[in-house]
Amino acid sequence: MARYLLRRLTAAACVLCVVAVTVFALFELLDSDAAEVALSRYGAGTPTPEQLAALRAELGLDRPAPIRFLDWAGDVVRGDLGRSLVSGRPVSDVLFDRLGNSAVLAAVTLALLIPLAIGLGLLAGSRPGSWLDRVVSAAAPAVESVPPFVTGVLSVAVVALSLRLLPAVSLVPRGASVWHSPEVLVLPVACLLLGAAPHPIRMVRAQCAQVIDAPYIRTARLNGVRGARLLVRHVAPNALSAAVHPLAGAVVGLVGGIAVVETLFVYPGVSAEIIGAIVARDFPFVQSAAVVLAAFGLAVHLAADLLALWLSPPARAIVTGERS
Amino acid sequence: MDNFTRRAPGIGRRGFLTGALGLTAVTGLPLLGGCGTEHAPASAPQGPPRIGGRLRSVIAGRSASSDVLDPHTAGSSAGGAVAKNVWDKLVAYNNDLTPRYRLARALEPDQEGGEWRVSLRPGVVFSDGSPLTARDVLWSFERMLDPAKPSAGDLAMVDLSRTRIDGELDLIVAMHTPTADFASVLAGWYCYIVAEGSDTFDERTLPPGTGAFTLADWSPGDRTLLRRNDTHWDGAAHLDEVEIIQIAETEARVNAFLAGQADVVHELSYLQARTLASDPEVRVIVPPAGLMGALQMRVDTPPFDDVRVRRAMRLAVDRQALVDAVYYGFGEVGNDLYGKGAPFYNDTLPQRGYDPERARALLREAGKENLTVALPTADGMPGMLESATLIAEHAKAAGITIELETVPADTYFSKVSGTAPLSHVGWWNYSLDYFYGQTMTSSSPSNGTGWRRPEWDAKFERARAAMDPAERTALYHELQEELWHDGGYILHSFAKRPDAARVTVGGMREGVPGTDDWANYATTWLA
Repeated sequence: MARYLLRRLTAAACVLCVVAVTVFALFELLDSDAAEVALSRYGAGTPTPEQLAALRAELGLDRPAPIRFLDWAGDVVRGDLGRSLVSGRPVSDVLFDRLGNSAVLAAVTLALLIPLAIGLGLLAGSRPGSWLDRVVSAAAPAVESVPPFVTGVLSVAVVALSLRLLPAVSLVPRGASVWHSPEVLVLPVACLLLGAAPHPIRMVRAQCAQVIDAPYIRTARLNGVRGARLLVRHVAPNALSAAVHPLAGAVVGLVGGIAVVETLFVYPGVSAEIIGAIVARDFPFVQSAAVVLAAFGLAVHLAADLLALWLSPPARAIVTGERS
Repeated sequence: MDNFTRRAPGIGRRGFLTGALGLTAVTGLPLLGGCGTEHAPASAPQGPPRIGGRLRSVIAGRSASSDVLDPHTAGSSAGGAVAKNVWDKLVAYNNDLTPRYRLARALEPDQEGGEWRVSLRPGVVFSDGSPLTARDVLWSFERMLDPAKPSAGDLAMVDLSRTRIDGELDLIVAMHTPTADFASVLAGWYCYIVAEGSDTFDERTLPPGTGAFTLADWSPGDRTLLRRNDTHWDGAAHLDEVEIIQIAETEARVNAFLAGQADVVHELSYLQARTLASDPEVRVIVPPAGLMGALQMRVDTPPFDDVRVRRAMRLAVDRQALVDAVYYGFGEVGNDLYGKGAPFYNDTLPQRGYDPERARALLREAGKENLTVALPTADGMPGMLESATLIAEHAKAAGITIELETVPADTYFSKVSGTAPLSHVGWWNYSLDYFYGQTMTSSSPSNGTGWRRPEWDAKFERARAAMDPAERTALYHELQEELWHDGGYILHSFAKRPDAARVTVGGMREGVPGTDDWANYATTWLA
C-alpha cells in the first residue's frame, strides 16, 4: 500500500511539472507581456519602446524564458510563489485569500451535493419505475442540460431583482469572511448544485438499479432484510463504489463551474483573479495558481481512488496483492 | 488593458444582435436626441445639500493581484476614481477640455515657452497636516518621470535636470521643446501631486493627499473606503464616507445597483442606460461631451494609400444611424476630427454625411470598384462590435465589402489597433496638443494611421509653440483641415457614456469619463 501511495505521489509530481511547463510555454506564446499591459491604458495610445525596455528590465522580463522559468520554479520549490509583476504584491497573499473564499463555496456545495446525489440516486434506483424514479430520471437530464450561467442569470433576475430576497452580487465586506454574510452564498451554491448534481445522481441511480436486481439482494430479501437496512447495508456499498468517481469528477468540475458562477455573482474567489492575471500577463500569478489548482485536482482524484479502494475489497486486493 | 472588464458574460453578451436589432428597434422608440440630459435633472433631490452618509459607488476595476493605489501608475477607471478623490492635480480638465487651476495658482511661460513658472496656491495642506510646497511638486515630477511608470509619457516634454525650486511655492519647470500649452499637459491622467516622501502606496501606508477625501482603507481589486478631508482647501465635502467598489462585469455592476447594493453605478452599457432612464428611482447621468468612436485607415498601406479610397470609406458610413442604433441616442455624429468642442477644434468645416453614390464614384475613379477590405474587430469597448457590424452594412451600398474578423479583446488596442490596414481606434478626451503629439507626427509613439508629412509636422511644431492664441487657432484649423481632407480617421461619432445614480443622490457632476469631474464625489450628497 505504501508503495502504491509513493507511486501515485511521484506521478502527481510529474503531472505538476508538466502543467507548469505547459502553462509557461502557452504564456510565452501570448502576444504581449506584463510591461506592455502595465504601461498601456485604454484610450491613451501605446507606450514608447524606451518605456517598455525600462520596465522590462525592472521586472526581469528581458531575461531569456528558460531562466525566468527556472527562477520561478526554484522559488516555488522553496515555498515562495513569487510576486505579481503588475502590483508587486506576493502571489500567496492574494491567491490563498481568494482560494479560501472559493474553497468555502466548493465546500458548502459539496456538503449538499454528496448527500443529495447519494440520497436521491439510491431512493430512485432502489425502486426503478416508481413515481420518484420517474421524476428524478426526467428532471436530472433536464436540469443538467441548462448551463449554469442561464440558471444564474434567471435566478438573479427573479430572486434578487424582482423578489429582492437575496443580494444580486456577492459583495463581501472588507476583512470579513463570506461566513459573516452567508446570504451571499445562497444563489451561487444553488447555481452550482443545479449544474453539478444531476450527473452523479443519475450514475448512483443507474448503479443502484443494477445492484437491486442482483442475486445477492434477492437472497437478502428472501432472508427478510428490507427497507432502509437493505439499502444501507447491502445495496449502498456496491452502488456507491461506482459513484465515487463521478462525484470526484463533479468536484474537479466544480472548479470550472465555480469560474462561471464567481464571474456571474462577482464572488470574491480565485477565478476572476486568474482571468485578470492572464489579461495582465502576470505570469508568476498565473503559473502559481495553475500549479496550486492542478495539485488540488490531483489530490481529489487520489483521495477518490483511496476511497474506492477502501469501499471495494476486490480492488484493494488487486493493488495490494500485486504491488506489496 | 481593463478592456476585459467591459465584456458581459454569457447571456448578457449582446454582440452582433444589438447592432442588427437596434436598427429596427430604435425606429419605433422615441430618441433621446443629441444631448439626452433633458430628462435627467428632473428627479435630482432638491434643497440644500445634506451633510453626512456613506456613498457606495460601483465602477469597473481590476483584479486583486494587479490593482495599484499609486496615482502615477493606476490606469483603471477605479484607480482613477480613487486618485482624483484623494489627490489633486496642478491643473484639471473641464468637460470641454479647457483647463482650470487646482493646486496651481498660476502658470507663466517665458517668451518662447521654454520655461514655465508654476505658482502654487498658498495655504493648501495635506491630510496629515503638512503644507503643500514646491518640493512636493518636484518630488511628484521625479516619480512621474521614472521611465518604468506609465506617467512618464504624459510629462515627456519636461526637462527635469534644469527644473528648479524658487521659494516655498514656486517652481521653474524647463521644457525639452518649447511648449505653449503646459496646462493641458499638467491635466494629464497621471499628473497628481503627492507629498514629498510618498513612495509606497498600499493598504499599510495609505499616504496623505490634498483631495476632498482621505484614504481610510484600501482592499486591492475589491474596494476603497474614503473619509472626508475636513481640511480640504476647496471646501469640505458633504459626504462622511465614500466606498468605491470594483465590479468588472457590466451586467453584475448594474445588478448590484438595481438590488440596492450601490447608490451610483459608472460605465453602463447604452442599452442599460436606456432601460434605467424609465425607472423613477434612478437618474441617468449623461455627460455633456462624448468619447470618439472611430476607425483608422493606414495611409501608407494599400488600398488606403490612395486618398480617393479613404474619402470613399468616409462617405460610406451612415453616422446618424450609428449614433441612433449603437449608442441608443447617447451621442452625436463626428466629422472625422478628434476633440469636438475642445479648444482649437475646427468647427468651420462642413459635416461629412452618408453618400454611397459619391463613394462609389470615387472608387471607380481610383480603379478600386467593389473594394473588399478586412476589419479586425473585438468586444473591446461598449458599442465596438455593433458599430463594426453596422458600418459593414452601410458600406455595401457603396459597393464596399468589409469583412469582419473577430479577434481577442484584451490585446486589441495594444496589438491590432494601428497595425492592421483598417482597425478601430479609441482615445479618451485630451487637448489637441497632446493628442496630435501622440498620434499624428512622424515620430508619434501611437501613429496608427501612418500619417507622416514633414510639412504637417513642422506646422504642428509651430502651432504647439505659438504663444498668440489667434495664431494657434489659425494653425490648428489648417492642420485639421488637411486631416479632414486627407487623413486616415473615419471618426463617425462621439459617444456620451452614461452613468446612473439613485434619485436620493444629489450633487453628482456630469463628467466625461477620464476628466476630473467624472467619478468625483467632492460635491455629492445623500438626501
